[in-house]
Amino acid sequence: MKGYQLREYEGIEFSVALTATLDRELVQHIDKGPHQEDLCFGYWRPSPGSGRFTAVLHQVNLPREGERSLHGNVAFESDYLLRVLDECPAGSGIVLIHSHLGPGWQDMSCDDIAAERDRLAGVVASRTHLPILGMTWGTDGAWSARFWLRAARHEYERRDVTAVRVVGKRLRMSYHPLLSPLPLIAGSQEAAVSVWGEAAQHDLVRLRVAVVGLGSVGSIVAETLARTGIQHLTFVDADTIELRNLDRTLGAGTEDVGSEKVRVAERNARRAGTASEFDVRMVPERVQTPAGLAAILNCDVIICCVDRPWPRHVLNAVSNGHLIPIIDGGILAVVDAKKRLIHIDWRIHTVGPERACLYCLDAIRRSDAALDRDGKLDDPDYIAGLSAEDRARFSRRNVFAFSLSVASHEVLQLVGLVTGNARIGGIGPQHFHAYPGRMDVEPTKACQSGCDMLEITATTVNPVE
Amino acid sequence: MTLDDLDKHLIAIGRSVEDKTVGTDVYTVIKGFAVSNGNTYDVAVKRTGGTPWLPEAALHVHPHRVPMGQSASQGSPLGGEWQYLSRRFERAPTAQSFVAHILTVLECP
Repeated sequence: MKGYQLREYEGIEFSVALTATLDRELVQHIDKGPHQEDLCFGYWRPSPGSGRFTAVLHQVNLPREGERSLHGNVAFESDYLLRVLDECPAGSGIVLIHSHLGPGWQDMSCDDIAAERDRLAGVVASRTHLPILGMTWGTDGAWSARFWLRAARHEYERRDVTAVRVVGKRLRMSYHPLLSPLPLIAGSQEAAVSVWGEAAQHDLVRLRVAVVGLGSVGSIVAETLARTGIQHLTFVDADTIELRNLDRTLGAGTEDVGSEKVRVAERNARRAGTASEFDVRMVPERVQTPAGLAAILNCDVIICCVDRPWPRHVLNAVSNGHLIPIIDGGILAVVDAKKRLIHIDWRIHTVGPERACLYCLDAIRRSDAALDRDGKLDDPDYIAGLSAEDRARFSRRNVFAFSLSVASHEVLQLVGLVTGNARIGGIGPQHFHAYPGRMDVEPTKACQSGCDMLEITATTVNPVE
Repeated sequence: MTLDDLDKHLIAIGRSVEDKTVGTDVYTVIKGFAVSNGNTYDVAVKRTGGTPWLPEAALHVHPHRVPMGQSASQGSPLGGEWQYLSRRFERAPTAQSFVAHILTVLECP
């Protein structure tokens, strides 16, 4: 686990995540109108990806009477800091949050720097063994943030975060104007921009998006994201292309048999990409391995294109635990004992804070995830002993045309999530019945009371180890 | 919940537990469940990593609760006197609900 020394973070990007619920609580406290700033402290937990370190905010500690002075500007008293240090939960870092009186990403005044670097950085690092995090709220709701890391004795250096994400029914991003600058909208993206507008395109294409599973659905999602102009893509899949995959893997030919799926997807994405600056990372790992998990923690949103229940359990936990929304889809094609087609369904849903998890959506079952984790679903004798209904769930029957539909709706749900435009992403989980040919949709649901995914919100738990 | 939560609950309700290692796997053995058939059984739960805890879709029971092969029973890696009873547990586990699940499986295998 990384600490507060600058040298530990060489080459690492920084970000911050919080739930929309916590965002509302914070704004209620620090928004004092056009003439008065305010502040408070809070706590965060580390979410360490392989290339990005994220502070996941989980708790606010509001000031009591007399613990800060308001005079247009705002300053905290030492008693407030001492109380916050005393009450800091084990394993958490401390964040100082304050408001400014203008919109957009905020720079720091000399007083802001003195408060964070000179008054807080040393004492917080020595107490928590994590760097102090500073956050500033702009009047348009934009967040800016930075860490202060120890470079030498009594010397702390500032490292700005690339983006702050607020995760709820919508994924709202605040991007650093230099570390993640406004992208050039290429002429090849004009058609998309004419539909959802330039501002939405700016938010969308700067996301760090992971595609987990580069098979039938994932290969299509990967190319679609590249064509849409997404700049930063991470492809996660440990498998190689087999002959039986060729009827449903976009861009793969017979010459690719034996190649890593991530490599084939990367080649296709580079060919299709419309972004002027394009970064594709290949991770030939399973998401339930340390390397796979660390790769997806670099991302702002994950498109889940795997059909196995154990990796989907892991992603389900990541969505709430690390505040990385997951867009998931699944296909069920049932045939009877005489191999006659009975029915075909597919489903697409977005999960994460303020939404129902995959268990509460009945998209996966806990016992299936446990069986998959324990290797039972690869045991032919065990599968043979299952009921016909259970065997159908694990049959993984699929056709390229089904995958096209699921992939399309997954990307549309991503656009809806980021833009907040329900006219693109729909209003909630979608369930398509090939017969009679109807898409059902229901308003976004939340997890049921007592769901363990609610308990782990913003805890940055490791679902694997 | 975590496995630590289950451990604390078992101690709080006075259950006697011990760990048993088989190869690389560790099981928590919970001793002495009296069942209405007049017998007493030990139950072993495989310790699996990760949070939230995802219980194995089976309990290991000693001695055999049902004739081997009935009620989705199989041999257990814990040894010949143990029985693997395949039982799905679909709810979000809490320590209390998991102990209730054990009692249900033992009463109605």
